[in-house]
Amino acid sequence: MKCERCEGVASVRLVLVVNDEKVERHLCERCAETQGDLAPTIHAPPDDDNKVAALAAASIEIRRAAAIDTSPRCPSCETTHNQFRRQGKLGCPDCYAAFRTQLDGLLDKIHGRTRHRGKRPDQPPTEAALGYRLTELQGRLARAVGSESYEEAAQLRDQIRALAPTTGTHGAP
Amino acid sequence: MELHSLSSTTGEWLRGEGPESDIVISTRIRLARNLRGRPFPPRAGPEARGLAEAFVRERVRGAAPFAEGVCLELARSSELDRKLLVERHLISRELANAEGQRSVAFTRDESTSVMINEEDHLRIQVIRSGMQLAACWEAADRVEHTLGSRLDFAFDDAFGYLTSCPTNVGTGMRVSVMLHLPALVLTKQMERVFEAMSKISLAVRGLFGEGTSASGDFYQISNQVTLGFDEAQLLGRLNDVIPKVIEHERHTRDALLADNRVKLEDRVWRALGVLRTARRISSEETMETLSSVRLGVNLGLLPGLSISTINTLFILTQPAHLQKLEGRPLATPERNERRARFIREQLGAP
Repeated sequence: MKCERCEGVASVRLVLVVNDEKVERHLCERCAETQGDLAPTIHAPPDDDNKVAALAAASIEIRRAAAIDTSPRCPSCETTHNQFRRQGKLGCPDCYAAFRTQLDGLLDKIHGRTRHRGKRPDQPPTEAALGYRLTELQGRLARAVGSESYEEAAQLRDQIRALAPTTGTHGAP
Repeated sequence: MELHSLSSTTGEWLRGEGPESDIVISTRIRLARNLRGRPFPPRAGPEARGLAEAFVRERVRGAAPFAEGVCLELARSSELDRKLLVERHLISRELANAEGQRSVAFTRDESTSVMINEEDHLRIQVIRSGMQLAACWEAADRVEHTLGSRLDFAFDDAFGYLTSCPTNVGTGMRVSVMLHLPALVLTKQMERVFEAMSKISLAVRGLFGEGTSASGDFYQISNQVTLGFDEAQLLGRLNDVIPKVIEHERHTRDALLADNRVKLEDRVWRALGVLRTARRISSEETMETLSSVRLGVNLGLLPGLSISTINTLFILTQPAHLQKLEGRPLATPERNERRARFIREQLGAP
């Protein structure tokens, strides 16, 4: 999320209660500090709207969330683990390395697994695709045998035999 | 390509062919990929976003399947054009409504597309008519490999292909099979399907994916997990389950015919009657009646109508298509009139 004042990354969420009405502000640390909203006395900036200008007479609740964020931080994009937890999105590919320890638990919850199996960038396309073609044919073969369609089963078996030598170790499970 | 020309045609995946096409509309595979060393689009500032988009777009445009195709910068497109692309399943609602630099490239038959700067830098999509998991995967794998030779995709030995949201990490693959299940809806059995699917980590969604309703009795069944299983296993899971859902729908259709033939005939003929005679018709009523007619055609109750005509009407009667066809914005009442006229024309009714 962007800072409402300067387009930087909003890392501070201020919840101001003005005349029983909740006003949320999303600011970067620098703007939050310079605005003075985090100091005990609130100085409404001149360009702000009436609600904030009325702050002096209002009850104020301030939640200073990320300003003191000491959770792990991605060295590439500066996203903190707390930010990720709030937004559900990582900042950049390097976040995966930065939050590796914390991610394992989360990935296990989402996927029931934590390690990749499957295609890799160095894998030629036919290998991965043929692996599945074989799985599919074997499924159809099992169904054909189950329904006693032996002619179809024989054809499928031939197709599997024709494919198998080219797929090497990437056979179907 | 002028987008206007799209408003009177549909992509190849709607031609109503391919295995099990009476029930399976289409098979779609989406692969999420990102560039190494660059912020993911949702977290990138305008400049980084623009740089990544231009970089990817140039390389996608030069790649074999897209060189002869269409490439659109969505920040420069009108809202209506973006809606048209959503209605054709070429881009997501999220990409249409996002801000900043983003684009889409697709082949002329609309079977292959790449969304650039959606939630991930690239969302590669391949779509086929009917139940075609193997063909779809082979095509997606090929396109991904071609683009991977031109772009450095972020990959980690442990986590696989890295994505903005951890729900897509690993294979980055979402396989969706779109099914037309009017008999299961009619007999109120969809809840059971939902329950059965969620037990095996498959999601059931509406016509336009996440968070959309199942209008027209269309449902998309897709894998929920993307990590820890290879592509063949994820495809295999759908390949095991979809035939069971198809069989269940067919069985229910047969039972409806056997027990209540007249009631079913009455339903589909009335629906056709509405479509052939209405002077004003809403989107919702169109989806509902077209669904009944589609069921009727598949059961052989409505001779002389083709499935591809009906499939096509589902897309071409949507709001952005009608407005594109008319060449101007239409308010709802006008649109309902235009829709009714368009349907009558397509069905050869006065």
